[in-house]
Amino acid sequence: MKSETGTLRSGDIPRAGRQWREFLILLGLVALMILIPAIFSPAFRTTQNLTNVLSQIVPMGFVALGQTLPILTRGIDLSVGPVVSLTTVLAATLMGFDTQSVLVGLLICLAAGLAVGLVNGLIIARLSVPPLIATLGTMSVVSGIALTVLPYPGGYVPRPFTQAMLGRIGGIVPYSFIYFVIVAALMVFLMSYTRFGRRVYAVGGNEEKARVAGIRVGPIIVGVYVLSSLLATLGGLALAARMYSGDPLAGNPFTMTSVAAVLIGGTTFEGGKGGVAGTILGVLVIGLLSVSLNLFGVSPFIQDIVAGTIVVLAGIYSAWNK
Amino acid sequence: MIPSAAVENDLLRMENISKAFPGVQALAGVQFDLRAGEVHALLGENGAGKTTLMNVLGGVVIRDAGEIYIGGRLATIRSPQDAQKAGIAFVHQELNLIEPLSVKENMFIGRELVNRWRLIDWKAATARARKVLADLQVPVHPDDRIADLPMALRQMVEIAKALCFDAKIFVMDEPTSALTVEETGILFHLIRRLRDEGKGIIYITHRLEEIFELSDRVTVLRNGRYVGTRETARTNRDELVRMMVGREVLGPVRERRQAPGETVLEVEGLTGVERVRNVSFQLRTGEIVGIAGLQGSGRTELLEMIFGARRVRSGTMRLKGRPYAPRQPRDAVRMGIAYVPEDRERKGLFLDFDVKTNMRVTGSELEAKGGWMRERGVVPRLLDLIARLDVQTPSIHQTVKNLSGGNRQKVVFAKMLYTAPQVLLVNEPTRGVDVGARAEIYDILHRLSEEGVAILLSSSELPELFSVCDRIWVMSEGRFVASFERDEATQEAIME
Repeated sequence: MKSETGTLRSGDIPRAGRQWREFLILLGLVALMILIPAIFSPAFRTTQNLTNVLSQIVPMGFVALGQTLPILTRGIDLSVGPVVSLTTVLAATLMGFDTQSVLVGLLICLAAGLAVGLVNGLIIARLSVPPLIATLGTMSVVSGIALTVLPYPGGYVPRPFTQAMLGRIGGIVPYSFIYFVIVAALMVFLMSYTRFGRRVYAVGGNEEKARVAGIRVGPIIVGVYVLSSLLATLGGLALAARMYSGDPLAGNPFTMTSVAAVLIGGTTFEGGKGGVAGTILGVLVIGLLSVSLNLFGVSPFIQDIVAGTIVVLAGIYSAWNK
Repeated sequence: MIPSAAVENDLLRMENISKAFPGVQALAGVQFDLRAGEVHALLGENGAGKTTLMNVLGGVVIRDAGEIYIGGRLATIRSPQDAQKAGIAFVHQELNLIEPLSVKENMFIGRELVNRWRLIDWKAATARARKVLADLQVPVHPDDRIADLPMALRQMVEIAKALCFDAKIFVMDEPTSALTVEETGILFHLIRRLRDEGKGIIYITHRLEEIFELSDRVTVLRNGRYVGTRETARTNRDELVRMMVGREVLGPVRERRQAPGETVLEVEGLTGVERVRNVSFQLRTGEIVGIAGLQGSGRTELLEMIFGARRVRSGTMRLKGRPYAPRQPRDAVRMGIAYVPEDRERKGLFLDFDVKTNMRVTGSELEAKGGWMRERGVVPRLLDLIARLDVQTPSIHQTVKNLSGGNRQKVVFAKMLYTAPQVLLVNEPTRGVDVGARAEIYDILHRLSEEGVAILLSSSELPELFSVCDRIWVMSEGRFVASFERDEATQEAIME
């Protein structure tokens, strides 16, 4: 009745198929989020709106790309929102008008992001503090630093910087969106074609087994939180350019929305499953949702409710699938 | 005694290995050796030290004393990585495969194949994985995810992975315990191929049949001590059993067989959310009924459903003639049903708490009046239970973590007996328990049944079921497929 290998066949197993199906569902969701407002709102169909959407999703996009990595390793980075805030106030207070001082300002912002990431990573990897606790602490610390640097919204970011961010190709696509596409592509590449990327998945899948397989888990974890923090810094730079100024609290909601985008994108809290590509679609879903809610005159605070609900629903989904 | 030339030819030699854990001398001066191209079985009862010895070899446990020679040279093995570098590969229940990842990723984990840009070379990985899998005739695609594969295939992937790492020594720790007869045959075929290619295989088991079918030599351990090594062809079952147990018979056989009383628990068409399918039976007072079956056959799920710890999809239960539908374990305890779980460290005990707290945690729940714990009369009852079960503990304030496996198990029994149950569900009661304590646990079961308690005993060890039970039911893929009176059951019939 059966072949030589009997019950041991694995032919019926859906190979990569399942992941592709989830990806297609997400793609369909994105298409719907574009189609529905496009049908009902003439304002949505303008090129001005397209430009607006593209530049609006960039800050959250960067942050969510970064957030993907801690979640892949069964962790979370709660400090990304304050890192965004800190970056905007640093940029708004440090950058001068000439190109040189803009570059110095950029470097300082990146150094700050790197420092936060290193601190997070080392606390988690070296001192074995759960990521939730470690980044809950640094979240408050970084937020406090941002408020110390600039206690109220203000300052300014100089023209050379905003031009480099908000200038448009063909009058439509903002440069910042191009940067996002490039960084997103690099992240996809990093996660699929480098040892570091694959080891992030291994550590997320099962940290103990990854260790037994000879992977040094500590450096991987540190790398994960450094990347998360650096990408949040890029998000902060994009946000500062959009606001033309700094704001010590403007970035804080990004912690929540980035987690929501990552979860919508199919990365789960069980670790080792999902990835950056899904997150990009998750970012589009959340970004388009918030644009549509604005267009239809719904209170922006509804978005907080939506993001929170998504996180809880994703948690329920994970628990059920266990 | 052994010429040094022989030492040079050995793939592996372990000498005078000792290891103590708190409260137990797990290994005492144990020796072991392995030649290229042989299957060397490591035999012993649970708690004999087989797994500890192999954990020493694998760098998971650091030995207190002794030397390990690999290929005739002294080896330092202080971590799993050291063992891997020395060419030692492990295949056991707790596989080292990472479930969300694909087969090929697991095969090269930690040593990913990269091209000259130091980027992952997926093509090469797929090709090599495919070749190794094809060589071993493992019907798995390199892109399959581990999570989607049945246990037997996972083990074969683990073997394939070890070959990718150029392993020379394969340690297989009870690899067949979760496999069907057919899958076992395929695994044995694979093991023989490895042997013929000059690899050394250490095969850990407590199943004698497998030893005669597969191994070239056998080493027996008992209570952490080396008993002896035999050529398989020149020994027999009786000798091995004697070496293993240290006496003629396997455990105390249940002699007195009282007539069972009235039916206490009736189960009709019980079907669970997981595994259990349409199970019906009746359990009578004063009898011990065994449930045999492979891991994953649904034994644990069935017991936990009766105990109210798992959801029931359909079917009914009656306890002493009255409808019984527990929604949580507490309901079961209230109704006189107790459960001794298989994983006592995780489900049965608070390891960091003392004996007293552990023993009364379930019972005091019943006695509590309006949320207040009752203190009067508790200690005498605990002392009585400790005496009845002969729990070896300096005081009731001893932290449970410091007790041996057998005594921990007795604490679990005491905890359940504190509730004076009429039905006792017992799951793998002697796992990780030494031989002496094992006999005592059997004795406890017998005494309870004589007192009229109905006992349902789930075990993966057939000899245990034979020596303890009045009747044995066999479970496979969630169903009851056969039942035997004790006299008519044979190991072979049950394996079918």
